[in-house]
Amino acid sequence: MTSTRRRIAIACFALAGCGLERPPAPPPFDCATIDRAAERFPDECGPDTGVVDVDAGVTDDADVDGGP
Amino acid sequence: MGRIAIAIALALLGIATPALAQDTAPSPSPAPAPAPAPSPETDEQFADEDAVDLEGLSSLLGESVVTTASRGAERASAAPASVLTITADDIRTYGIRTVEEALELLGVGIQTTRVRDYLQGGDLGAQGLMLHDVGRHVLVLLDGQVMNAQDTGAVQVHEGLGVPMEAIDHIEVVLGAGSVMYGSNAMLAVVHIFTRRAGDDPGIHATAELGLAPPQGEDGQPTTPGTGDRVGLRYRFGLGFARAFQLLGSDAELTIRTEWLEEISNSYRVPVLPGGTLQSTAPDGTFGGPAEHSLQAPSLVAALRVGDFRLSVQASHYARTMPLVGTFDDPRAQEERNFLRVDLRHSTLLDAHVSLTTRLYAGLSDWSERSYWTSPVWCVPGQIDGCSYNGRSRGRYAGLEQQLAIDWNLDGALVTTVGYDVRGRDATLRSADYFDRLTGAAPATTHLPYAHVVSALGAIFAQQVWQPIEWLTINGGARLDIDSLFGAHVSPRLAAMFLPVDGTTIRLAYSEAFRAPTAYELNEVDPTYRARAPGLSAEVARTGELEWQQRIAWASFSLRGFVSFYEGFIDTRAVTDAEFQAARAAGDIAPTADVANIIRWDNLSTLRTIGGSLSFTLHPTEGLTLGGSLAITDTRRNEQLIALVPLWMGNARIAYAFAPNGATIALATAFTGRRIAYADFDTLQRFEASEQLDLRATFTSPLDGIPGLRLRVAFSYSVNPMMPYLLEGPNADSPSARLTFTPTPSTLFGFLGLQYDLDP
Repeated sequence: MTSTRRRIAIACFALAGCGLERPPAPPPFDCATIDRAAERFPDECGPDTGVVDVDAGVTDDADVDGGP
Repeated sequence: MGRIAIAIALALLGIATPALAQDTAPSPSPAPAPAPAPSPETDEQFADEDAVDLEGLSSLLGESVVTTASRGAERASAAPASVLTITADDIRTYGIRTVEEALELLGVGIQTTRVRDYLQGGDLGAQGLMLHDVGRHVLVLLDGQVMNAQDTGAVQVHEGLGVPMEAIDHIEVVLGAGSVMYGSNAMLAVVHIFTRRAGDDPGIHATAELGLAPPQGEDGQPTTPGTGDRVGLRYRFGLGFARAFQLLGSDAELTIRTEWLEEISNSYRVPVLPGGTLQSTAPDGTFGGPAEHSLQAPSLVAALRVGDFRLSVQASHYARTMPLVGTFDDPRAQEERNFLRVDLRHSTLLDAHVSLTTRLYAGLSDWSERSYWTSPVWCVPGQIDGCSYNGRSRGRYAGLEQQLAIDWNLDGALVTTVGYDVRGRDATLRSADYFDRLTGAAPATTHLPYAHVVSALGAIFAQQVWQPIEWLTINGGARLDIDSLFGAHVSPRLAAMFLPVDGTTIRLAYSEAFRAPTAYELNEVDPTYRARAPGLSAEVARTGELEWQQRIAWASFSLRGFVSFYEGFIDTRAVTDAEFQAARAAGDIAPTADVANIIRWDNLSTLRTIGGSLSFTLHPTEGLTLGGSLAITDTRRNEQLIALVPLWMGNARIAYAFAPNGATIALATAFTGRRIAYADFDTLQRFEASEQLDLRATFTSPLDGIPGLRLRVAFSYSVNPMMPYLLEGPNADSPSARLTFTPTPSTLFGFLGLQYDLDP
């Protein structure tokens, strides 16, 4: 790397390269893809909402949830 | 030789320092010589104001020479504000470990608390106000560099300050409004730290210090080690190097000071409390037991001077665990602060009348904090197992400042100072990241807040010093700040110093100051409880003061009274329905948030403070020094007393030196009156906290047989070990909750230090 390019790289780092990154936006809300969705989001994914909860396999309480 | 240098410096002070060239203060020595036109050689040597031998001048004049109040050296009696100087000798003599302790034990009207386990880490107050605000209302400078973070306004004066203690030459504390010279943040006080020069102590310097603290019981009193109770350890190593030399045909010097400080605290027992609002991972859901914390704080200060140029660098890291925040005694709960500051200064005399100082400066700051919460109440929707809270802010800034001082008659009686400061700032903020406590997963439905703020600050300032007659000096000035974050503000100051007889000064002053809202305050969002607060304006302080200073050969005292009006203080309020809907629509707050629980910042409070202070220093016999201060303040909002600051506080000290540069014994105390305890939750009533009294005894001595080696031993004891901060108390959710104050983690400690100065 030439000294000029190195200086530019350092300047870019100083000016723009060390800020905090924007956090990712939450994924589209889908009860079927969320672990323990009915337990965590009872209003959106609970048994009365008609949404079938799919256990993502992390816990063993999937039988508690699940819609008709 | 020293006398000649002082005489030359005195003459030259007419340039940078108007008031000093006047023969108005008592002097144990013949009056300073009139100011001749400086030679080019002396120009180079003394054009930089901090090159002036202030210690020698102070000794010669019989009073302190200060530089902070007017941005130039002047006698303390001629300064337009009340200025206190704390020297490196004071710091050594009284067993001071941090700037915070120096302000507490040796300051006047400054209050500090060591709230180590609360989010802010430490509070700093003056002029009748001490807000739980990360020090935003006090401006801290290091050799002219602003130490307040540019993105948050925060500054810490404890271990997190990032300045090795052995690097400090002296500290100037300017009480009251200081925005006329320095702009934002200088509302209550300006604390200016000056570092040592190579000429002060050339050579290699090493410091080692080891401290121990016994464990503490629930009452805060020392106990013996046992199950769950451990002794605390704190150690500090410092290494420094200073040397003057010739470089490229110019005088040059290099000073480097580094320090490593680490603390593995003693255990301090917290009463076991039912969970409720407090967080717990204990099987029975309780909060409490033996708590302990750790702390690391390495720091570096370095300066290279070549001719009229000075390049200085400050870098520091600070990390501490927070055992009382979130789940009890969780070692993962911690705060970190990292800083890097660079300052390139050029100072020169353009001609005999005119000096010009130019500063190019830049810096990086990074703050982060993490804590863990078990109750979903404190977390965003879906985090039913609890969450980790992460706050973070990173700021960058760069600026240019120039200051021109003109001494029209070369006698200091008519001096004009003008200058400007332009600064660009960049802040990236993640004020409230919530992740699942067990899995670390990001929220499924809630946007985590983020802001990237680019802002600019431009300021111009001017000051005129005029001494129309021998016993009167008038100092008037103003500063205009234009800040893209909030708008513009003018901060004026007018002061008159009457010197009716030798040793007596009457100072009458009016000044205004402001604090600009920071990028963090304007954009702080928490999806669980806080909406954004655009449109915040500056807080404003207007202060009138009257001070009588008296100096005689062996004593000096000051009696000062002031009244301050504070407008537009930034405080929290509940959001309106419209603000709530807007915050929901913007995704700033969680979809399930209740409007009743959402708050925001706003310019709300109007406060009035009336207060005064008395301070004195006595040297009745050779080697004996006594000093002390007492400050009384009355702060009201809508005529109701606000007792977050004690009505009275003060300190007292005595030191005896057995021989010049020999052994010294010293005792220092700091005391505060009763005040209302602070709580970061809604209590059902106000609770009063007891008086505080801290004692510190110190012995310092050179060690015979090893030139350059000095010993320091100190013991410290807090008579009331409970801090005026509530850990728990009756609240709406738990009306019968036990009233519990936060314990200080250092009721009793002692330390032993060795300092070795090698001047080859």
